[in-house]
Amino acid sequence: MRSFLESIQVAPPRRDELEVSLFGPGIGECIVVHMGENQWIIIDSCIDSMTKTPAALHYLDQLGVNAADNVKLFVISHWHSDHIRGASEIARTCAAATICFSEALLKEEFFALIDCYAGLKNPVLVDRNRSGVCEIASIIKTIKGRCEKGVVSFQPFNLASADKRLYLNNQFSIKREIWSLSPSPSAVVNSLTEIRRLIPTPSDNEIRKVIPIPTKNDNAIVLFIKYGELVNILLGSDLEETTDPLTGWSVIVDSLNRPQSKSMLFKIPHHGSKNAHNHMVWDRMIESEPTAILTTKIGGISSIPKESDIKRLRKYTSNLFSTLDPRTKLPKRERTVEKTIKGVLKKRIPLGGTIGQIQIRIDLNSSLRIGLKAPATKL
Amino acid sequence: MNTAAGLSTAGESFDEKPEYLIPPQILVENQKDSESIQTLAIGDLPKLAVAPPYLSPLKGKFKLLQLWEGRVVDIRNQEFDAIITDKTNTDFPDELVTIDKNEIAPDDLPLLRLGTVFYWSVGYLDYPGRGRVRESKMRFRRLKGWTQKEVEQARRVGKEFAKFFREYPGCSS
Amino acid sequence: MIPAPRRHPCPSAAYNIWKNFSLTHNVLFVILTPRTRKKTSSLPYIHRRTCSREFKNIGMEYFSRESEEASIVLVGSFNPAIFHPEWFVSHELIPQDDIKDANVEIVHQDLSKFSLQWLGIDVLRNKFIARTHDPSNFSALKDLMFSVFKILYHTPISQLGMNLITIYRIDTEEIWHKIGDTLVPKNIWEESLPKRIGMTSVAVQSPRQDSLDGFIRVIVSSVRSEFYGVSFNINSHVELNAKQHKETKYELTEIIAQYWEPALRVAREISERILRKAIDT
Repeated sequence: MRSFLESIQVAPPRRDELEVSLFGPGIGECIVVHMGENQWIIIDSCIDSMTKTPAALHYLDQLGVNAADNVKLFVISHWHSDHIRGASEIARTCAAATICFSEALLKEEFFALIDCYAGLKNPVLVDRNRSGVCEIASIIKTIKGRCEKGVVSFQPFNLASADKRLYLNNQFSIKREIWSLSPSPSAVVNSLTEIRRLIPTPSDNEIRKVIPIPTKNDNAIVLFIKYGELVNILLGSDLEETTDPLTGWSVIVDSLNRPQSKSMLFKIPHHGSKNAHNHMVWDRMIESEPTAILTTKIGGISSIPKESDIKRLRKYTSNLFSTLDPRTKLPKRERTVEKTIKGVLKKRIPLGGTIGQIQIRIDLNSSLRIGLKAPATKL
Repeated sequence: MNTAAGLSTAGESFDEKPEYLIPPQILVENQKDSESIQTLAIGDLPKLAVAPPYLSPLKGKFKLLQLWEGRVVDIRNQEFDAIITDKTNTDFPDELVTIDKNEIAPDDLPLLRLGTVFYWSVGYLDYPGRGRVRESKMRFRRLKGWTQKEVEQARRVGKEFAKFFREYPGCSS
Repeated sequence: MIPAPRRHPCPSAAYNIWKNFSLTHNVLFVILTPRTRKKTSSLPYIHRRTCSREFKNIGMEYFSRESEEASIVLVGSFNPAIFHPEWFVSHELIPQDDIKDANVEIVHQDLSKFSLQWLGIDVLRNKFIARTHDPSNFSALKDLMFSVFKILYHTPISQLGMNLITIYRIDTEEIWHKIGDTLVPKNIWEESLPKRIGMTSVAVQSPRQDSLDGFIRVIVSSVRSEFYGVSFNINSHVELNAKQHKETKYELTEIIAQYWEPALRVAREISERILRKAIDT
């Protein structure tokens, strides 16, 4: 049963209620999941432009949840800047959380890259746009600190890879699991190749550039959540389809080691873009007429999802929701400056507007309640 | 009056004290509180890394109205895209903008590559003999890149961290 | 004798009537007549009642920033002869176009001095000074010094100064005098110097609050040219350990890169806070 509410609920979920809240400010996204019994999971991070704090922490604070004790898992699905703003603050605050990331981020090539741009041991020149490297550097230092202190009550970090269970809780006879379905071994290798390419080449005449935004998303972590017997959720992160059958969505669909149940709730990957679409995912991993949620990405050649993407997605479900931010008004500056801007710029799009939230609460009978906080909307 | 040429002479030692802007005070006895404003003896006066007052002023006057720092994210035939951060109004969000390549000075065009940083300013320039001009100027950042030593150091740090996490008892992959 | 300034210059009749009311009446006056309140440059537009019935002017600035000059100064051991504009161009630190109207005064083993439209370079055997009075180029100045001393990483340097000189235009002569009177109270000096006295310059120094070794020195000076002004010369001074100069050179460039913008921001905050306090006291 599905019911659609006008607005989100500000009271915390019931003890046995699963919640998935998706936040999207137009650039970046974050997911907060309640796994029951006041145990929370955070996936990625984005900043709430009003409070200037990580959206996840702000939301948990509003619900009266103590993030330091009750967040048990923090998954960094990939290290691009739009998915990781504020992540270091989450890592520091959530002192009882296992921080989970792709295996590729634990290799020496990645640490060397991070050290060049953000300094893991010694301070270095740090650029304004760091594509998440500073956040990652801070997280690495936080984890290392916890390892060195000898934390024993939980594992400070864990590596996500294909078909691996990251979380299991059997309290009150309700089985709750979180599985990572990616990255595949081939995707890790490809990712390391790209990381090696990003390490700067020393040169006398080369000027310093900011770290280029990685071109591929095949190292992203896809998560499958199983709650009780009836509730299954697929969180698609930013994973794009590739032509390589050993990477992307194809290898996930064909895997026999993953949980085979179909999901009733699907977080659509990569903002609904065509690059991340695989029909077999809808056919073999998702129930018919599921609830599908996505975030909008403003920027690039054009914002996504495009009209054609929305049209394509509506063929699979009529319950499609987006944290869409209607075009934010450009801030006004002094008249002389505005005149000059008009004369110089061909196009202007503000990045990062008001944060929209889609809140979905599901009980053990798979009854679903959907709340939206503007500018989130039904597509 | 000291002039720039007169201040330094050949063979001047490294420890020569530069000129100071205020006359020295006499040391007060039993000065204990290091937090208070210090009065120091001539011999204790610190060297100052300041520009001496005899330097001739630079010509012209600039009134800055707006400053952005941008980084190039896409380049096409006649234009490029950049994300600009407002350094004057730090609360404003970043913007994705499209700029015509003609806005860039010819000397800076070779620097137009993915990831390069530029400064864009709007303001008024008052220059002797030229009156007041409203100007918009883009200037690409020319910051030296990494040296061989720095990259080697980063690789060493990479190895060290990878080894630490690999050998951590709880690490499961 | 310079006349004592009027405390709250406010010529409007409405304000004078308001001043003479009791507390209750004043509150009523504000609620009922917000629209009659005129906003002019000499009228305060926010009023707050104090215990002594004096109204302080808050939220109103009586000054505006007239000009700024930033400089990065290094004390160490240099070879002035190499610092010709062409050297900077050859290392791609400045574009060729920048040096087209360069004014090269001297390039000599003891002194080099040249200026571009936005940049002034003065190099002595023991000092390297780079300065600009174009705020849009404050970051470019930092980039230049970072890159120069990355190339010349072997140069022994013992001190770094990240300095900002800001000249503020003060709205009225009375406020200008008030600033001087607050910073240098006349009652300390009047007995010894009975004739006309006025502040020309005052300096204050305090240790740095961050992890770097050094101090912040603030010099406030009066300025009388076409306008009444006050100059703040703020020196953010860093001591670098000469004995460890090899490691220090690696750190010097990082210090410049990391601390330049905070130094400028702190300098502006210091000068504006002091100005406000000097005016509001």
